[in-house]
Amino acid sequence: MPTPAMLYNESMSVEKPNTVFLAILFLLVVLSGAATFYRYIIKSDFIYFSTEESIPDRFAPDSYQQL
Amino acid sequence: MTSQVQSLIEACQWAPSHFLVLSDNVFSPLLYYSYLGSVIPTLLIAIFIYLNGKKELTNRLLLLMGGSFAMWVFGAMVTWATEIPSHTMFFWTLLNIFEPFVYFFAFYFFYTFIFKKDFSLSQKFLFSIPLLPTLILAPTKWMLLGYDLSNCDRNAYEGILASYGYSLEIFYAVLIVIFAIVALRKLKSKEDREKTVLLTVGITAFLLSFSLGNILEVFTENWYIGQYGLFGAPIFVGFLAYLIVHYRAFNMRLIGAQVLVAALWLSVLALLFIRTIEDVRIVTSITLIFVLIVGIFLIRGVYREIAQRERIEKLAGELQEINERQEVLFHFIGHEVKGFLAKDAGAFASLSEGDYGALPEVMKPFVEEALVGARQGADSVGNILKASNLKKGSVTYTKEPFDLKALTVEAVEKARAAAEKKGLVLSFTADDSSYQMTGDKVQISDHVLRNLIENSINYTPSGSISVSLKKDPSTGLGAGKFVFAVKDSGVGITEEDKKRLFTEGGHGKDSQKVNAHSTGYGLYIAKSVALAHGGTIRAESEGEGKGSTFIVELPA
Repeated sequence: MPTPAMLYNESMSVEKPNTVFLAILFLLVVLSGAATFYRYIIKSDFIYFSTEESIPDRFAPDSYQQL
Repeated sequence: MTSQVQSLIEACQWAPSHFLVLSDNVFSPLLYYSYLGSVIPTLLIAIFIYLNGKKELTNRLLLLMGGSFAMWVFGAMVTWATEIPSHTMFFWTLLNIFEPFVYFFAFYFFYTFIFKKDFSLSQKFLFSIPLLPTLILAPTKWMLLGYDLSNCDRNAYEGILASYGYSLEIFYAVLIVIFAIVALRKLKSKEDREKTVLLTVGITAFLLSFSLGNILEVFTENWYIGQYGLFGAPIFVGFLAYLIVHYRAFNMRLIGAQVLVAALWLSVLALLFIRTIEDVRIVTSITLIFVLIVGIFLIRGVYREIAQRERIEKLAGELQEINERQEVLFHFIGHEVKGFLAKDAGAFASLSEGDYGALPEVMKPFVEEALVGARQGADSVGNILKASNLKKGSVTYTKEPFDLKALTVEAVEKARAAAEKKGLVLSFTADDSSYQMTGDKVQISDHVLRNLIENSINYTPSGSISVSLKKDPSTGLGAGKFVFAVKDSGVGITEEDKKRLFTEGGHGKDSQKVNAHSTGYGLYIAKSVALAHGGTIRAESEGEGKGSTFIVELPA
């Protein structure tokens, strides 16, 4: 099956700097996901809002009413 | 979790989820259909393309885009199904991480596909840096403010960073359109422009419908709208498949059949999750439309393939007829030319030998040269005719016992004058064993022994040629084998030339620079004769300028 690169009869292999770039992006995503996992799943560190009024302003997230 | 929270959650009476994604909390089983129906074709085509060129950057980027989209879909399905607030918070954040990445990789893929090059380092930095706030602040209250228990909807409440993510999506989509316009102004070829338009339409249809669905559902808080946005994915897959098929004359029937089978699998899978007749009607209608469209393409593909096959068969018949006519003509011309050259050679030989009286001294070199030329010409035409007969299978071999050593000595002695004329040292070694064998003496002598020795002389500008003959009893060829070898200090053979050395008309890359009279049929004939006698032939060389050794093994 032709690949998109083959449609142009050209080979565009991934060179080392590109692999490094993609690997850094991947690492950042994994770290970000891991930190989120730690906060929400392991520590259960988040706030419950019980009424519409208790939901804070998006630009001032500290203005909430914790249950 | 406080007891107040616990009691509020219990009051909502959410159903438990299984395998994270299966639950009665999902408002309709059709949700699975829209999610799986979008992500499976996208992933299938991305994996399929990636496996066909793992090192291609465009293929990797398409896979990363499909992978990010699949992660998003998985996260979305969990948030629909789960009754556990911490799961909702985690997977909701993951959704917001992967969503801009779908757009980033789509843009990156688009750029490399259209411009046939990678981003420069500064472009990589410029286009990926906007993703950093999302990645760094994902676990903070700027991404999700908290869990909303006010209406039992199992929602997380999004912070300002989520809105930033949506603006990033628009940013990458706009970049795609801008770069598409730049490409269209730059590209000259009609085909390249068509490809750019098709990919731009396909990719923006996917990204914009995805964005619109996601943004509208957040701002209207109607979470069902997002489902419709997902149908941009199969549209993109369709455009991509069309690009591949149309511009590469790919086997439409194959891809059509694959898509059809995938569609049928999906519809059957979807039916497993459906409980109401109304939903069955909806799924069946969608499947019917899909199968109808793909079916038309499939039938057209089959028609086209049959027409192509018939055309190929017709052309093959015509080609065979032309070949046969040409071969007859070629043989006629060959025999005629060979006859004239043989007559010329005979006449020049008579003149040279003084059959018509002594030649004036001034004429002798010309007559000698003419004699050599006529003989070479007759040999060349003879070789070509011989190769043609070998190919047709019309060569007959006689079987008679002969002494291979005596034949080799005779071939060496016949070649000695030519070797000495070039200043080459020609030697022959053999032990006292018996070299009696059965075969076609003339063919072995002319086309194997003499051919290989003369070949070495032609391709050795200076140095030596050693011809050797030995008997090797330790072999699987019955009574052992005779090993005839010609080793020279000549031009050598490159690895590339070795591949076509024994093929019909197969010249080495620079062979005609060294030997202008080479027809390229000599070694092909030598190989055919050796094989016909149950033997083998091979060439060894350490490379260009390092000499070569030709080895023939014949059964004793």
